[in-house]
Amino acid sequence: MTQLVDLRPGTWEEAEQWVGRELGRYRGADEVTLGDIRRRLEVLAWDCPLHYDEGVARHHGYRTVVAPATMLMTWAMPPYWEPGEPRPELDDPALVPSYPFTQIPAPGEFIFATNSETEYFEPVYPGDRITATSVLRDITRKRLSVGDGAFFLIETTYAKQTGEVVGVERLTVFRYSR
Amino acid sequence: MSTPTLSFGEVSAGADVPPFSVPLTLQRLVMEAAANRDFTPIHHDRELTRNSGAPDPYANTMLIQAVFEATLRQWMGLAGRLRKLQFSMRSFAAAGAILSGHGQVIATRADDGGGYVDLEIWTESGGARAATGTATVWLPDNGVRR
Repeated sequence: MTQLVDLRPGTWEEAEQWVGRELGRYRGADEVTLGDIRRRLEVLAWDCPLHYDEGVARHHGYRTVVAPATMLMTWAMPPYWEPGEPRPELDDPALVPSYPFTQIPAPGEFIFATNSETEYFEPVYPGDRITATSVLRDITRKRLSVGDGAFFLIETTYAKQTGEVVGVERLTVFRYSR
Repeated sequence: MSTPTLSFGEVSAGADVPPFSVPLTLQRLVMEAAANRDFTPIHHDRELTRNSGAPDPYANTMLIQAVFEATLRQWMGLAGRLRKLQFSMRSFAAAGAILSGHGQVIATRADDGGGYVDLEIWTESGGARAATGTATVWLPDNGVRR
């Protein structure tokens, strides 16, 4: 996920002061729906009845149709526009998700994910509303072939409206200048 | 999809996981963005992606995670549970190539009513291993959840 816009500028010293800090708590724009799950299957032509057949899902210990475990980032995605916000203009920069790591002040106008590690706990069902809480765990300065920058390790805990934790993700992104 | 139900006792180190593949056309990347809600241009906009230094729009983290889950699900059947997924990006899985998920069992650990299976996992795209990592799934003893 290299992105070209909306990264908060700053120094590495400023970035390092953010280690241990909560970067944000995002409640997903919408609750989980059968339609979201269906579109996930559709893209991959992925035929798994746990994700569309209630009887099969119940037979395998789920309360009802269960979401694929790997949809956590989607469930917690903030909206791109909300009532009260300005309307779009033709020359606006491209929209990018307001991922919490974009707020860390640091040099470099580029960023991409290098490593993803997720543990999965409680199943996610239609009707659930997922909130993601992200903490910056570590910054490691590094020069790579693409440029000079640093690895950011961001730990995100995904929880349901009930407080049950559905997953914990450790995402490493590389922020750099070309 | 045929959905066999794999039991913990049927699995041993060295076993291969059959690949699960998807043709990664630009159109399918657009469908993917609509499904996963990440509209970052480098996942669907060819001109902007080339300006960023990548050859073509490419799969994002969510798509790679989903391909791994589908790969493991197709292999383990409906009773298994995905517990952990970890991978590093080695190269871009760009539009215009087949993206496939692969796996091989590394180790098994018996547990009450079943056991954990650790796997090496990787994607292949354009002849290269695009993402490589490990996964852990839980499988029941009899193909039936406790």
